[in-house]
Amino acid sequence: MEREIIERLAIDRTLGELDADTVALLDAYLAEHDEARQWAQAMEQTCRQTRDAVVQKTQSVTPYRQLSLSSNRGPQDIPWQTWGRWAAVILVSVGIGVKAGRWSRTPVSSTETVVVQAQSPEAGSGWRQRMSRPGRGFWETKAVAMMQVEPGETPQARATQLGLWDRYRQSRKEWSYE
Amino acid sequence: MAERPQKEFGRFWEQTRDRVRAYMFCACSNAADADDLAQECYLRALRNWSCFDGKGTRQAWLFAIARNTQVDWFRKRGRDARLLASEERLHPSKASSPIAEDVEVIWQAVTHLATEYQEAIHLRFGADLSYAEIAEMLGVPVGTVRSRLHRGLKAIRERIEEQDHGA
Repeated sequence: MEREIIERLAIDRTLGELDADTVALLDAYLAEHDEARQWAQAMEQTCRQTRDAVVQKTQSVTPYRQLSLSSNRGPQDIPWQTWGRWAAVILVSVGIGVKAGRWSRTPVSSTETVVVQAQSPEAGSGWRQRMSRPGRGFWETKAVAMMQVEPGETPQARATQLGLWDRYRQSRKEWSYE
Repeated sequence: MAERPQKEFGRFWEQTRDRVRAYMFCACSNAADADDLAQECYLRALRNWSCFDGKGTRQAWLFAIARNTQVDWFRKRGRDARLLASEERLHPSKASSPIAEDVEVIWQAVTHLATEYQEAIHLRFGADLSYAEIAEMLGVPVGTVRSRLHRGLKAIRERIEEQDHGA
């Protein structure tokens, strides 16, 4: 047999691509031919070395990122039995709640209701207290209306609404008048 | 994707991920790029999972996708990418783990082979595919795969012998 054929058969045998009968025939032939056996051995060695080198080289690099497809389970991965169980639990809970609500007595208040009327914060003192009092007469109402405009109240109230710049301008004006 | 195909894909991924990555590493000689390529390959496989027509094996189908992914990757990166990959194989970075000298010699011998011989060796030893699967994947007869593998290994042996005589 030619060297190339022997080498090819040797490679096939090393890689497990030969059937048992062919392997037996090849072994028988190689047993009788020393030169052919040397060719075959050399090629088998190269084949094994190359395989080991490629495997070592590819495995020597950083290990593959250990990802797990099952770790990123989404809602679509949950089986329908689980959904069914949860739905059954919720339905039973709602049913028990409704039944319990129907069987229980209607609540009746045992204490008398006390109505507390809150006093307006504006109805504090002075004319405001008088305005808030019911049953005023005509003159009293008139007098109170006149008292609504109290001296000194308006400028102070306005001053609180003014900004810093406006107050400064106002004070400048007042100084100029003085 | 329905539940069953997703589980099937998960199992398939578990079975083949290391070999796909090894095959990708053979092409680009860089762990990070190999990871990216493998990820891209599985994304494509997942998208086309239902398109598998049942002819041949799933593995051959997957590695055909892997090969196309490599081709697209090199095309996208330009022709310098292959040169860089070869350079990386010839002069590996210091980040790589220490490898025995004879392994490096053989690895470099593989790098110097013609592309079709390299591919046959990567698919047989890196991806651990059978002759029939490689033939189906590459669209060539089994005899061609056998022949490429033989010539590639012969060239490697000659290179090793040259190195031994030189030393």
